[in-house]
Amino acid sequence: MYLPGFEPTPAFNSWRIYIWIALVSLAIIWLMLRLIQNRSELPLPLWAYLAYIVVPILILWVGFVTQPEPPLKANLPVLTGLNFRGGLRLTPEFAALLFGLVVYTGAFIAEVVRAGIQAVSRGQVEAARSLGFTGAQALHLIIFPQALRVIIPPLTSQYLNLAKNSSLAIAIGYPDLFSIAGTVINQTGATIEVIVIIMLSYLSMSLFTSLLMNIYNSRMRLVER
Amino acid sequence: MTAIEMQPPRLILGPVAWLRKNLFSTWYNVLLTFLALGLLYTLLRPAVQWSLTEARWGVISANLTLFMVGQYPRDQLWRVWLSIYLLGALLGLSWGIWKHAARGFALIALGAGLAFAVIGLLLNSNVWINWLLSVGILLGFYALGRILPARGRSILTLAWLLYFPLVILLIAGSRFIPFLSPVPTNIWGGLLLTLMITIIANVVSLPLGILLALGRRSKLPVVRYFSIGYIELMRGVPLVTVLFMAYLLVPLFLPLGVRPPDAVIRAIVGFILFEAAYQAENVRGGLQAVGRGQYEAAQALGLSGPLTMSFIILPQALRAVIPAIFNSFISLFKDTSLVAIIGLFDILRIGRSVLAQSEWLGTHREVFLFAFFIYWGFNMAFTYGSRRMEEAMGVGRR
Repeated sequence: MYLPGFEPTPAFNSWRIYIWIALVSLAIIWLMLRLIQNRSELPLPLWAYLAYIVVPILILWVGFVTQPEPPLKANLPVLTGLNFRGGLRLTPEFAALLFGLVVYTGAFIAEVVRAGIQAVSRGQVEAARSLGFTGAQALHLIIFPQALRVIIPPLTSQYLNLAKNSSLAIAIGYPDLFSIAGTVINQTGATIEVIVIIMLSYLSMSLFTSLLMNIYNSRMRLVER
Repeated sequence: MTAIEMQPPRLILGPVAWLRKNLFSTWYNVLLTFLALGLLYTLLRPAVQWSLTEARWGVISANLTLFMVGQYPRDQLWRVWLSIYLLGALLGLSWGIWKHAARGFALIALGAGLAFAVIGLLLNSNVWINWLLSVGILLGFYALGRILPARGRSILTLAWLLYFPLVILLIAGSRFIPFLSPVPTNIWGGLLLTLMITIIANVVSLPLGILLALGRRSKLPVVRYFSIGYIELMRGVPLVTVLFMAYLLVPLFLPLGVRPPDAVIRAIVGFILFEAAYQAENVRGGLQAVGRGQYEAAQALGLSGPLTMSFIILPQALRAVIPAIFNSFISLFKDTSLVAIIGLFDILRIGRSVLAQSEWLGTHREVFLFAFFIYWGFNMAFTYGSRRMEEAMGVGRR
């Protein structure tokens, strides 16, 4: 399967400086808005958030004025000879793996999220509705922050499962870590070492995921006296 | 004055009204309904046609016993049937005594038994008599349960608790009972092996997981760091490697002359250790949802630590995470197919060896469809159980 993609032009290097400036300015805007919001009681007016859009566009506009060439150009797949050239190539194995894992893990995560939402007591929804929250606001501001406490630990498990299930790619002939390791074992005979390398790489990936999720979890914890 | 509590009247729709409300309410819903019907028709028609005309279902009927119990000795099959009859009797009795709470399960079992009897008849297998007999036993014990006095309740709970050890004893046998000759676990196979691993591993790993979750939230540093380390390590490595460890390395670590336990037992221990880490994280999610006020209220009422945990905190925590716990149950049930790589014959591996018989070459679709329906059917029953449990505990309504 072929999809249109982008590729950098020779002018990309000289564009890099503008992209960095734009990113830094976004960070500065975020900090400033936070400072202003911390001082005032009222929420910021909506137009203040326009800064997020206006400032980067201004910087990029300066870039367009000084640089004649754009940084990226579209790379469309073109039929030349017997096959397509250019574009992003999506192999059927990769597409099948991606689709299968997304659909499969999605079903498990759906159950985890349902458990979290149902664990929030009914009175919370009713209180939110009687305070005049709309359904979406109640979900976003009242239900979800409470539900996340129940959701995060099992959700982490599902993410780890997802990473480990990707090794099933071997079943449809996609050369992932496991199948490469199989090849290495065949060629060198160093079974134990390769298995240790596999375990260490999965372990480091998993530990990193659960570290991030645990940090997130402690931020979402029930704040009590 | 006591308040009279009244349930809101329940609206029950007839089938025609249900159709009109849910499928044909607006013009675009009518359109979508017909589109979906057309899609289903185009997708399913070839499959149904194939399964009725071309498919060689003989591969299933010829190997049915193999699929169900593997190499379990054929003259000992009455033990497996006896455990099914016992299950039927217990289900019937619970239906009679607990009425509504067990009705769904009993009806599912009844339907499944009848369906198996019909399938047995269609496949020219003589098991239909046994299935009809178990359905009869279920109905008979239902009638018995209706006329039994209310004192039967506590006996029934006890019977359910005794059922699983009894089944393990029946299937595995023992040297000390003359008519139950021991059956080594390495010739267990098929659906029997899959179900045994699933049930034992799930039943043992949940309490272990609860302990680990409590340990992770404990204030004692040694307990806490041990729990964190165990959980993160076990969740961090693939199940395959845990099974390999249990299979290859345990015999190496045992002292000389000590016979290592059977492969099935090692596999079950591997599953328990792996699953406990996952259940621990599920339970931790539930524990996080219980506010500190609950602990304080329990203390103010004079409850000790263990009493607070078992009567105040855990019931609320576990109730909140029923779907996540059943997620793990279902995952484990499906993961049992991995025991094939350590040389055990679960239902999928048996399917593959059946395909290697020369007379049944090229019947992949039949065999894997059969396995698909077996896994799907059992998972439907699991999900139904979890839904009933949620309803009984009022999840999402309180």
